[in-house]
Amino acid sequence: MMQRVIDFLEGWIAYLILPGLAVLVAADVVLRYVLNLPLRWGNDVKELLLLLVVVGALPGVGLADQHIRVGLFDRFFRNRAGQIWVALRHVLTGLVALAIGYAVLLMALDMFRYGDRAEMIAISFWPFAGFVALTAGLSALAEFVRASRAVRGDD
Amino acid sequence: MDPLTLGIVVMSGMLVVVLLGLPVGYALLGAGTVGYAVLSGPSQALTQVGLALWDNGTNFLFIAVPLFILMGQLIFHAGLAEDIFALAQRALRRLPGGLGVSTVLASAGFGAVTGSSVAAVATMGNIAVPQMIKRGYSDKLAAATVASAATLAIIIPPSVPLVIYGVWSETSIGALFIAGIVPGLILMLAFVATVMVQRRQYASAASLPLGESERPLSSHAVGLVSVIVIFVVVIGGIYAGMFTPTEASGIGVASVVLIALASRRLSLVALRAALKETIRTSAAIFLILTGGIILSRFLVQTRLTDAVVGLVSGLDASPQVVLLALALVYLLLGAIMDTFGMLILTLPLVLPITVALGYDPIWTGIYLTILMEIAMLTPPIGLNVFVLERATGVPASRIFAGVWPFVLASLAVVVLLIYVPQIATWLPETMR
Repeated sequence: MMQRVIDFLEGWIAYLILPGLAVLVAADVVLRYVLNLPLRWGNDVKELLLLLVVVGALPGVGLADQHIRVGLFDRFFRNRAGQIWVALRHVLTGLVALAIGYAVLLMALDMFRYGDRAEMIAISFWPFAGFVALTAGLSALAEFVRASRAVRGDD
Repeated sequence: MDPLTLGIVVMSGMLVVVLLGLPVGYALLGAGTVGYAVLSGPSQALTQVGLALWDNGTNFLFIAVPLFILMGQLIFHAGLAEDIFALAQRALRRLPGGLGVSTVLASAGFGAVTGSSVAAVATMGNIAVPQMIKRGYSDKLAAATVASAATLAIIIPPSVPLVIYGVWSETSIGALFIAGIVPGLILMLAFVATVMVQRRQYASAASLPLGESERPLSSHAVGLVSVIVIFVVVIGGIYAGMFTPTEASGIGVASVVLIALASRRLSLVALRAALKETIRTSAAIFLILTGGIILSRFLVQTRLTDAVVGLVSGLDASPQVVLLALALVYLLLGAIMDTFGMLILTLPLVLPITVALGYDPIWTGIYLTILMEIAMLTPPIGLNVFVLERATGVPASRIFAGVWPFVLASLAVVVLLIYVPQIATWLPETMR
């Protein structure tokens, strides 16, 4: 179930949002230099697309255990005690992800309350901050799933 | 607890959990948040975390990171590096160690259109190592040459680590790219010299018949011309002030896609793999960078940064000696830590030190990038070595045993850079 949700999310980010960002950056340059028609809203949209790209993949990175980390002592963690430590490591990571999600959720509520929006185009910020909070929550969930796998010895 | 002691405790705690295997990005974020919570209260800590995530996630400059990673992934899947290698191999066929030199030159060429060392080592490993082994090179020598030469990708622009350094330190990314050109070429020549010095081992292989490519020479010109065009457009555009690095990354991706589609070298499966790999790598880097920014802001508040800079400035040693000592510290850190983590973890303390010693932040970026290159080769964590082991099946222990001459060559370039900093600063100054 978790994997399916993450695949769905990553599919949208990888096959739609990232190509959209690349096309927009390239098209903006061409429009400016060739047709002298810069997109006034271009930078606002590019920045928001970037946010979706970099946070949208975080749950998938967590579930696949692809975060950058030091594996110096991994070889010592192969017995039962090691499994417990790996589970604790995932729980600790999940708690940090939850704290991040809570922090951004508070920010999203503030953005909604004050009506924060992009400078050149009428796009409200709060749904994007809400998306960051959602992906942080999913990242926490992914870490807890890995923790339970570690306890069962499936990690 | 006074702020300085708090800074030391938080930094030490963060290092412990990183060594115990917590993801570096989360460890940095967690440490910075806890530190802020103790220093200024939980509410202030949560505000700082939210702001840092938002500011960094919507940072226009950071757009260059996913796009340059995507560019490297697309070039990797389109097989453009094979053409450069085939042409270099034919041009240098009569030179003792010519295949080794071809590998170094092809890696430099590939590095000129990709900013990722891992993409370079995976690509060149699949192309060059089997060819070298087939011609009688030992697997140790073949794999060590490829693992070392692939590190050129992160110093020769475009370079993902230089973008990250630029975003973190608020240094001009365009100037950093231009600054990487001369040291990158010197490093390439140092690697060529390393191959030539070991030519007795290479020469025994050179007497074996050369395996000719099945494709005609002209068909390989597509790759070489493409690489030259992409490099000139992307880096030339930045140097001439036509594009910002972010815009150049978008133009670079568009150029690669057009070339790959026109030459029918990009399948839908490869495109999907490139896109998926790009978002995952970008997300992991984003988390580390954001965590590093939160932690460094906290350390500035505790005045730990000032204390360390004061301590180093008070030493009775020349700036060069301090920088050589720092290089030694990075060699040790590289043995236990991933390169991106190492960069972001140490920047809050190292950048103020090098600036206090009178070195330009642009120079510092190049200095740290070459040290990162070395860390990618040295045991027990050397990333390039493990990627190459996975790609070729050559045991990591044999590759580690073969990279030392290249590591020494890189260290020689570091010493040269310390004593002649103009190597890195001269070219960007011509931009102003």
